[in-house]
Amino acid sequence: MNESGYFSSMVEPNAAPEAQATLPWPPPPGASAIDSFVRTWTESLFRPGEFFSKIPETGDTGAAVLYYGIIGMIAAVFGLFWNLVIAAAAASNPVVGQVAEALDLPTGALEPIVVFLFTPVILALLLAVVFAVIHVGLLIFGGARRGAGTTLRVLCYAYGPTVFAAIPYIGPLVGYIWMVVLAIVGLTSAHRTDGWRAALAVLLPLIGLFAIVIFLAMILAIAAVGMSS
Amino acid sequence: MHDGSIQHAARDTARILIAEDHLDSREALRILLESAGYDVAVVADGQAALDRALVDPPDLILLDVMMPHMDGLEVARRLRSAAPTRAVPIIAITAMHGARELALAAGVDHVMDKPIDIHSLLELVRDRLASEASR
Repeated sequence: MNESGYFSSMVEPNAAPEAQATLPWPPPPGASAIDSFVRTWTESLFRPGEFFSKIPETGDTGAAVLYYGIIGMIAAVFGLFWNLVIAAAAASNPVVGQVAEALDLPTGALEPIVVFLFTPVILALLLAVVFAVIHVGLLIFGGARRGAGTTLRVLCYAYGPTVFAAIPYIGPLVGYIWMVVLAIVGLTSAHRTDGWRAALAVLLPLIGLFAIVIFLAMILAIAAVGMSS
Repeated sequence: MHDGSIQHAARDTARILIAEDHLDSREALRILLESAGYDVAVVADGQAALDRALVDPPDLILLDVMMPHMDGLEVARRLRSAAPTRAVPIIAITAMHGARELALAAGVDHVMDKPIDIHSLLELVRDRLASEASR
């Protein structure tokens, strides 16, 4: 099949409903929600090209946002668990306990629990900001061949690897790197665009954010040196 | 008797090297000594402590005895046999039974048993640095 034939098949009137039916999430009538959820997670992580090419162009985005929310809460539960374990381990160290008491430093479980309680708000804000930034990036680089709904769905399903927060220390890092890769592969497949356009839309904001953080850290370091001298 | 507060070091900031392989303890000691006004560097094993101290001798070394790559006793012996670090005060920290005599024989100036009392540690650090400064 030539390229024009490939793309023209994607805009046939009956193409979208057919593709929509092949996504395991939301669960089809009569199917197990847990089974559909696990299949969605597995397919999106391990066969992303195939999975994201099935993302529907139109329709409700609620199922994708629900998947994102569930994944986000699972990751948050794992994160809370490890934060509490680490806090408990640190508090049991006699030196840490004495220093925390002398300097009035927090070592307890309160801080991780408060962060966990705000997880739904954080997830909603994060999705809104990331979706807006990446879709504008796709528009700028000519990669948004489908609508904003497609971008939103891809970003929701690309959030799956964050459950690697179940593994302490290295898990969240692996999860975020995998998530970025999935977002690039997913946007490329779902928007039927070039990989470099999707990569620029995803990576440039990340690089920009990294540069801002480095810049602010340098400013703070310079200010701290200035205050101490 | 301690009042629980952390007294600040003299304005002429002394430089302290902490060699401790346990992350929580290392960071707690770093925060403690920095809060007391000292300029603190940290390393996580004996070899790194030796390398760091020989290249850039600190005013005082806080040395854990049980560390990977090179234990604190060997670090102390090598520091004492090197000209740049021969006179640098070393406070060893240990949970090992019978390590006190071995540490003193290796050239350590003071030995503190784990779990350490941070106020006693601060007092010892302050006194030792003051006596070094008055020499």
